[in-house]
Amino acid sequence: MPLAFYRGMTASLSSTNPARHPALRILCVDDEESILFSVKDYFSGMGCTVDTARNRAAAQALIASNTYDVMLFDLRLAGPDSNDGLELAKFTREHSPGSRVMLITAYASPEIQKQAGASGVDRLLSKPCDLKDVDRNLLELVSGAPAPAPTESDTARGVMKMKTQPAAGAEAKPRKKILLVDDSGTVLMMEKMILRDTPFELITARDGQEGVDKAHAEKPDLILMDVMMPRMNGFEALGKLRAAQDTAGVPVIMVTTRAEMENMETGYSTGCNDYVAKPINGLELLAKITNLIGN
Amino acid sequence: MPHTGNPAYHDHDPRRLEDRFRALESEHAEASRRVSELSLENRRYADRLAAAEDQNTQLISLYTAAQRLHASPDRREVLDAIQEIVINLIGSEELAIYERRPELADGLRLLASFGLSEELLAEVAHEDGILVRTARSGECFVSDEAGGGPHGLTACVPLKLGPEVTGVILIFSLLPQKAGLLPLDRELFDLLAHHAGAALYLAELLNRRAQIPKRVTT
Repeated sequence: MPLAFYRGMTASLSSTNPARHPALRILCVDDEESILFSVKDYFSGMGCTVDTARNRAAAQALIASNTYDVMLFDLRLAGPDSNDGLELAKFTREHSPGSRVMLITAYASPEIQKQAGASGVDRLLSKPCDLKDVDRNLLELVSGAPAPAPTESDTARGVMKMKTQPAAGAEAKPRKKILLVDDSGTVLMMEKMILRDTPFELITARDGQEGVDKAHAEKPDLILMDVMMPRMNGFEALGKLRAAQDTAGVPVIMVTTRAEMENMETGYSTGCNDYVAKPINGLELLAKITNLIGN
Repeated sequence: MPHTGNPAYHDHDPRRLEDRFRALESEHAEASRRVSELSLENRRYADRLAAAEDQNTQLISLYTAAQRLHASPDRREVLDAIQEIVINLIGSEELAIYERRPELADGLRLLASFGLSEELLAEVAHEDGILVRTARSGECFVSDEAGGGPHGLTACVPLKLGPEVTGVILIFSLLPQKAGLLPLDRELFDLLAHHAGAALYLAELLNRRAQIPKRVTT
């Protein structure tokens, strides 16, 4: 998620065990120098040779004169409306058909995913994503087999948390679900707008009882729960969820105007995982969701 | 020592080892400097991103408020939307919505209230204070301090249809977690003034139209 992408972006200078990693030739293309630095540092430490480029022309020149095992392309190099990454993928298919292409972007909409597939992209990763996970995907691509699991001694490098586009033919992972429970249409609309660019599937309920029913039916990965609702309030609904085996472990964030200490204590003692006070701060909400279920 | 293929590692000449050590030290210092620069740059990007996200949330609030006000032609639902906006987007659970009625003694009729006692409403309505002045002038009143106005008033927002004032929203104390009004709140007041007024008026027109007999008989 946005803040996490920039936290700890300075990669460690020490290498992890290079013996685990094949010595690949990698091209990384991104307009952000900090990203190029992190990627180069990480994969050089793995024994790979890493070339970098900051724009399409420089990347094309490198592709035309070298052979790479894997190419990592940012989508938008020349501005918010550019699709340079897709153009580079097509260029790679023409000039270096044996190379594998990964597109890494913060704009992984369904339309972009479709275009990526048509352009010859082998894997699409959403920013922010973890360098370790980039590595794992990269190994899967070049070997055709799942990459070895990281050892405990591996240190985290970068903080690009990842959502991957599965390779062609691979089974697509289902999206995580978030259940929004609030009697206010205004709040539901706010929450949906805040979460519209996230990869989550959103389900709504208009009171506590409906929230409990949908939680059992849809098995969400997270619930945003209002407190003051008709038919059944948020605390009662939370109690019912915690008492049922299939929903006992679902993380719940209370989203409410009632942010006084005694209400928060009631929430936590009933079993909620976190609290967001209204008016909702979008950044705070996204950070708390990421903290509980990642992205 | 890891095997890197570098011949220097196999050379036992102390001078060469020392030269190599100094070169690595220098490289390390340069890399550290570069890392610090990138850290700073990343922090700047993080700050910019946080500011952009904040602005995004503000735009979402304004868009949501406008959508909700015009989502239904039903008067009751428009009033509910106004209440939801004040409670959930501005952050006050004490509000009253008045309609301007010049034919009435007070010139105003209470349409809806939330979290307020009847005594307070009666006091506010019968005084020739901010409520009446706002209804006459069309100027929005905002207290310097939240809840610092008469009777704990924070804001008095005129509902307008063009230049004409059709009603007033009174907003009293803010939620405990809200220290004071933000620039976004003033934008929401402005949005309510124009869009809530128009939405209520339209709902009223549609309501009256629905009551007109389908066939006119003489």
